[in-house]
Amino acid sequence: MAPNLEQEAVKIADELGEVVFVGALAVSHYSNYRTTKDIDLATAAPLDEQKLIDLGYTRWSESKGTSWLSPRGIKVDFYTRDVGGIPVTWILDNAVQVRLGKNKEIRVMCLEGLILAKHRAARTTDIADLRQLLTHRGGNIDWNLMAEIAESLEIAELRKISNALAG
Amino acid sequence: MMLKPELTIAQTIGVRPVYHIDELSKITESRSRAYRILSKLREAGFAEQVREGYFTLRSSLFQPFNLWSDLLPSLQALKQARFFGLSYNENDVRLARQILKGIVTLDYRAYEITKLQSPHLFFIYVDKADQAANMLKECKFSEGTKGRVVIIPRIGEFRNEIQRVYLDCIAYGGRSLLDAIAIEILHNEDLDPKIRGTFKTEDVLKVREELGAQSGTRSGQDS
Repeated sequence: MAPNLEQEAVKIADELGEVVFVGALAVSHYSNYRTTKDIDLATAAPLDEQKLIDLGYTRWSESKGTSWLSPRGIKVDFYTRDVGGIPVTWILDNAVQVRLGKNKEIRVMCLEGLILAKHRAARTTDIADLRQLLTHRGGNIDWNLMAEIAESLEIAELRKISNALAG
Repeated sequence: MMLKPELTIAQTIGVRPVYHIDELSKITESRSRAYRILSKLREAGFAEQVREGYFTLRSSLFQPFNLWSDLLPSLQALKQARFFGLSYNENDVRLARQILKGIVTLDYRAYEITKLQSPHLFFIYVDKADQAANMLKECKFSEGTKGRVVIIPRIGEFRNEIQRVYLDCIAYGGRSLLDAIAIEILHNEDLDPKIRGTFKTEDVLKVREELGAQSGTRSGQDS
C-alpha cells in the first residue's frame, strides 16, 4: 500500500470506527500495485453527516452525499448498502484485518469480495486490477466463500480466468 | 512493421482480463484465421500468450486504427521489456536511478507530471539494453518477471518527451490509460492535436474528479 494512503486509512478508521476499506487500497494490500489518491470504504451504519462535519470532513462538491473530503484533503467514497451488489453486511463480516506498523490495524475487503466486485464493475481500471489480483493471488481464492456471493456463471468465468492467469 | 486494418476485427472481442482462442475463432469464423490474427497481434505487441490457448490483450488494441502506427514504437519497446529486482521494493528504483542513464517513462514519469497514481514499475528507455542489464547485474540485480526496474530499448521518436510518455501510457493500457488522460488534461498544449487517444467517458470523469480532489476542490458544508 502507498504509505501516505496507509496513514490516511489508519486515521479514517480511528475517526469513524467500524469501516472496511474496499477499492484500490484493498487491491494494493493483496498485490502491490498502483492507486489513485482516493479511498473507498464500506460502513454498515447510515452515514452520520453531522458526525463527519464535526470531524472536519467536507462534502465533495459533485456528490449526492456519498463522497467527502477527509480533514487531510483525501477524497473518501462511502458505501453503506452494497459494493457491486455485495451487501455491506457480508463485507463487514468477512473483512480481513491488516496490521500497519506497530499497534495500527485497518480492515480491508476479503479477496473473494474484491475480485467479484472488480469483475462486476468491469471498467478499465477494474479489469487491470482484476488481472493483477488473479495473476498474483488467484491461487488463494476460497471458492466456497465466493459461492456465498457470486452466481454460478460468475464463478465459472472467474475460475477460468484465474486458471489462465495464476496457473 | 505494417499493421493491417483486418486486425481490427479483434476489437469486437470486447475488453476482458483474459481470452481463449475459441472466443477469437467465433469472431474470425475460422480457427486458422484466429491463430493468424493472434500471431500478428503478438508480433505488434498487442497480445501476449499466458498459457496454452489463452492470451491477454492490451487495452490499446481498442484504440482507433489510425492511432496504431503511433503506438507501435511504444508497443515494440514494451515487448522487449526486461525486468530486474534486488530488494523488490522502492529501494530498487532509487538504486536503478543512480546506475542507469536513460529516459524514464510510464509509471514514474507519469507520476512526476500528473501526480495522479502512485507509481509501481520503473520503466526506463536505454540505448543499449544488454549494457544496462549488465550494469544492473553487477549491482546484484536479478533478471526475472517480478522486478520493479524495467529496461526498454529506445525505439521511435523522442523529440517531444511528453508526447512520448502520453503514447507509452496509451500503448501500455490498463491503469496507465488514466495517466494518459491526466497528461491530456494537464499538458494539452504539449501534445500533437492530431495524435490523440480515445477514452471512455467514465475514465475521463474519474481522472477529472481525482485531479479536482488534488487541487483541493471542495464545496464546504452548505452544499
